[in-house]
Amino acid sequence: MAQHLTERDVRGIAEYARIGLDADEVAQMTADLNAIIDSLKPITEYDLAGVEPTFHPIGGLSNVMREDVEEPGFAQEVALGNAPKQQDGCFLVPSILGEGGDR
Amino acid sequence: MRKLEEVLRDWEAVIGLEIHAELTTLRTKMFCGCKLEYGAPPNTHTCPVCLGLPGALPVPNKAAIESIVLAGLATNCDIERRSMFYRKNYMYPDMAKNFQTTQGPVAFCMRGHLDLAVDGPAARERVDMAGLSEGEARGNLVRTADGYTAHVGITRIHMEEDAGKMVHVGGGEGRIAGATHSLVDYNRAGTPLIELVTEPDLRTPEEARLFMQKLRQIYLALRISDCSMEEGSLRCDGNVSLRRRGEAAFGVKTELKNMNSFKNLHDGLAYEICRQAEVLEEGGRVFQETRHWDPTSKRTIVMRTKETADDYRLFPEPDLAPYDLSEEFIERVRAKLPELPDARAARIGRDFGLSSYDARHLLDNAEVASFFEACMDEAAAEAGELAKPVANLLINDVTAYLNAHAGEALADLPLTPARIVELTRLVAEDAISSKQGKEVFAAVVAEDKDPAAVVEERGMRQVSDTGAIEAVVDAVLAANPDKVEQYRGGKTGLIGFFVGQCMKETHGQGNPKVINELLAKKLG
Amino acid sequence: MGAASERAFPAMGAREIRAGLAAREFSAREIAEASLSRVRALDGATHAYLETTERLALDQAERIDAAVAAGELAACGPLAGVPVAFKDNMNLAGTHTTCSSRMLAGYVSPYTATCVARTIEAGGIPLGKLNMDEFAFGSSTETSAFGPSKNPWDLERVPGGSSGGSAAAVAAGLATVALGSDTGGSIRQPGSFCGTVAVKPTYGVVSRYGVVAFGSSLDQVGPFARSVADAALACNAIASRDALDCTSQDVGVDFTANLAEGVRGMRIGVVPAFMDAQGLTSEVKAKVVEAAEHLRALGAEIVEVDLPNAQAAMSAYYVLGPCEAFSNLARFDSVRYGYRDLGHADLGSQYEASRAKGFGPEARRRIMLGSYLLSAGVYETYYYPAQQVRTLITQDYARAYELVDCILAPVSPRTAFRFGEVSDPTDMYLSDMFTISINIAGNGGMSMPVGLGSNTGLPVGVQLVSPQFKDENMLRVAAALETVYGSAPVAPGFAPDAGEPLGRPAALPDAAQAVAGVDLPGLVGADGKAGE
Repeated sequence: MAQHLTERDVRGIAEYARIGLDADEVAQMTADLNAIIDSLKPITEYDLAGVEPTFHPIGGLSNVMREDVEEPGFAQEVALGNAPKQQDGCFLVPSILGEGGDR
Repeated sequence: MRKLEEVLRDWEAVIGLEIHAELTTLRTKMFCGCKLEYGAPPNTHTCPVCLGLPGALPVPNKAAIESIVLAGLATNCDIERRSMFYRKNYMYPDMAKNFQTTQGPVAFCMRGHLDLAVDGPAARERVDMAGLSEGEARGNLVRTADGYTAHVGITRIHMEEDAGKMVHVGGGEGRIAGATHSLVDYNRAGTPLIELVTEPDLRTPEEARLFMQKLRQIYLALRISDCSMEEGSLRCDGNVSLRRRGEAAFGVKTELKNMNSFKNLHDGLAYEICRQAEVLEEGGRVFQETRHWDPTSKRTIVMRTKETADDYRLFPEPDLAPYDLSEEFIERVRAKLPELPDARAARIGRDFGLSSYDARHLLDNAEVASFFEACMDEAAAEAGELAKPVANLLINDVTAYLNAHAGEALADLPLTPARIVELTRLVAEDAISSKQGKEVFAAVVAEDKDPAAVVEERGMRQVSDTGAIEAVVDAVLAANPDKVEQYRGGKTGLIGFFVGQCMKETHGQGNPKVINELLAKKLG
Repeated sequence: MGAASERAFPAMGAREIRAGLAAREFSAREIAEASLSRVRALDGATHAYLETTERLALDQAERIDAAVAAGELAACGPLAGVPVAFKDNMNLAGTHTTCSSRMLAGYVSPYTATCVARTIEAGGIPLGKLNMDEFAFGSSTETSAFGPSKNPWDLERVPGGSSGGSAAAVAAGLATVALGSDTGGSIRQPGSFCGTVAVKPTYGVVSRYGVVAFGSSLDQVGPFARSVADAALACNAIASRDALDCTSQDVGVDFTANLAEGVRGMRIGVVPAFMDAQGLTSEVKAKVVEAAEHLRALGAEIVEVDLPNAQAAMSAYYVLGPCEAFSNLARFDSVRYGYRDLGHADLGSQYEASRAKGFGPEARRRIMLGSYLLSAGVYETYYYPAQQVRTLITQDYARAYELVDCILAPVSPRTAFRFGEVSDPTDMYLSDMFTISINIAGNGGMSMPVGLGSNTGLPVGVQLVSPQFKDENMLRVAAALETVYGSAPVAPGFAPDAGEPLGRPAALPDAAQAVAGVDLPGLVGADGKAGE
């Protein structure tokens, strides 16, 4: 089996996907992902020059839009109904220091 | 640190802007029917879509697509008939789905431009203009009589959605640093947002400011956004790098955030240019990083470094059908284009015989320009005669007042076209002096009275009766024979002294024009 | 309780139920109560249900009974009085929607999926929510965080997946109609394993609004039933454009219209490469050949068609599915809802711990895979080519449908396997080898039960595949096969007259009371007035 990903790569992917993995899980995940990626080989062997991609399997459907008309939404308590923690009508999260993102 | 003017003599600044505008004039959000409302109680305008609940699907707001096409047409963009929405994936708590729905390599609007007219002292920051004669071009600029015009490329305008709002609690002043937790409100999440990206064609902070101002005027004319920088509906980030004059290669750029007023945009960029120059002149390196402009300490501060490019895992949004805008759709939008600020300035200039400078600056505030036109209607037959003084009053006094009283709009002031015309007519007919005119203007605004009433109340009527003034002139000349002698001997500068004395004797109400004429006659 | 209450209503068909209601042999309330009793009495063996929805069922029954009393049964819709249940990735306001994941344990839906609302509007009596593979990642329900469902034909075996609970419920007569969702075979494969009619309509026929997304360009909702007619009725109820789903389209077809027409004159394709595929068991192959012979005998022309690029469908699917899943599952971040690991001082560690503990291993694997495949430089190697391959596969089908009206193929290479028998992820993925290309191309596909396999004695389904938006073709062929094989029976151990009953009581939770302020779209209150 080809080694597409190292454990280090997998740790990087996990960090991006925000999934905490311990050392054993990283090792298992590395093996699993390498096996799956191996099975994707047919995709890489195709001659696809000049073939348009199909991002939407919906035929010629295009320009699907709605009018700018207000629809009823949630009351505040419904919006917050599943919140693990809330305060002052808002969702509460711990300190976000160090979070990335382009902003 | 050296001054900007000096720095720009040795270095060329290369500036690009990314300008976000919320489409606040729409009724509903980008992908759901939730109401757009600034300042509502938190999380009262949400639904499964903008809360990112499991199973929710987006449906685009047609009016938002019309708005961005309108913006593209008004900024000389090509409208791309075929484009798609993409998902930009990154996790941040104010983004309900943890991806932002935005556009990919092809945006609705591509390859546009705006031409900036730069005049006054700001034009001198562009040192490469030196030596050009009027009409001569170099690079992206063309020399004009009072400055230059710069051609600024627009890379694209794409459609996207805004994030929610976060309040950081437990630290100082709502800052992230030191906060123990944050509160998230999704009322703003999903607000339609258009992002305009310029080419790196701007060279001075003033050009950046003017670009932003011009774009704001256009968006306001299109009525697609309230463009409130205070409320964040118009936001700007800048990219800045320096290169030695004459060099072609770009330097390392920094990205500047939090420039949420025209002044902050200008000052932030000016600081950053000077900072980079200092670093480079001391043999240091500029790092690719995001910096935050702090208007209080007047510095830019590192927010985060970007060692590698961000990887947002962009891919086409499968939940949204692609776009294939018809020619008919685009033409229908084009038919909604209002008169744009440039065209309006040209027309006003032409119709009322104003200089291009005056016409342009009237358009700095569309409300002021409309007011000017109403004044001209009011002036009727006298429009040609009063155009220049009315324009001056609006550009100078009214604008100064509005600038000094942030939050007040022209419509809120007790100024009417009739009052402005009456005031300028009083000055034009020499009933009051122009200095008195300023006093009357202030009184009209403060006391909500007609100009004539103010003049009457304060006994300000200017004395233009030649007989009465002649007596005063004679008395002044008689009381100062030595000065009369000196004047006749060539010290013509003394005319100011005589005028001053006459004004004093008339308690400021003598018509300076008449006084001048009589003095000239009697001394000559 | 009268004798009627002992009837096994969910083991009946829609027509029988409607006739009984019309004749006032029983009331909708009796249907609702007896159905829930049956579920509680038997589902301990199958674990098809995660929770029941008693209040909703009784409210709905009341409305129907009121209509019957007023002589307005006809106004109640095609599924009037039919016991229905929903895969647990479908939102129904006031019920839990867990996707069989620890991540969403306790999550209460504040809104209702369009397909669910339409089923209820059509008169269905909602019995509850059904078990599945976690977030639909799997082919056996073994990835459910709440334990797997059991195949009613053999409790030692999986019901298939991911809509395994839906298939098991219908096969055990614990629902007349159940909705499932199919991303790579998740309706058809469990339909085959449990011996039910199982329909995945063309992509865009049924709204996905309110169905928790796995692969947005692949997911499609469809019904399980024990007869083609019931499946077609359910399709009628849930199909057609929904303003809330941009990818949904108008259909304008009555799916029941041509069921009686037979297949004379129809051209039905078989794909030689499928029939020779490695891993296809002889008993399944024999059933496909047998079905083809029956169809020929009924007057259809059997034509060989070629799908040269279909063999790449599997790898395209394992690119596209995980990429879309990675992005769709990013919203499970412990902020607005879902599992939150407590005690973290910063959001980053809360994210990582919550997602590590909230998602099971298969969900984590797919998210990780998608994140990798979409990363810069890798996107061009896998994702983009996979979308190009999708074009080729779609073209293959389009060419085939120039020659035929419908394609006949295996559903799964084998019958239901034992728990734990398939443990390697890539082996498990082979369960979908004959179903995946249909999701890639977006066509309609269904599993039609054709009796029991000669080796295992377990149900076998054959797959019928329609051109896009010609789903009536496959239903017509299925109805013809039904004249040969009969409609699908309730699994023997769960039949009302079972000699050796397998069912045992379940301690099923009932749905939470409705969330304050949440209206139940399409549902009716006790006053008999329609909701919004």
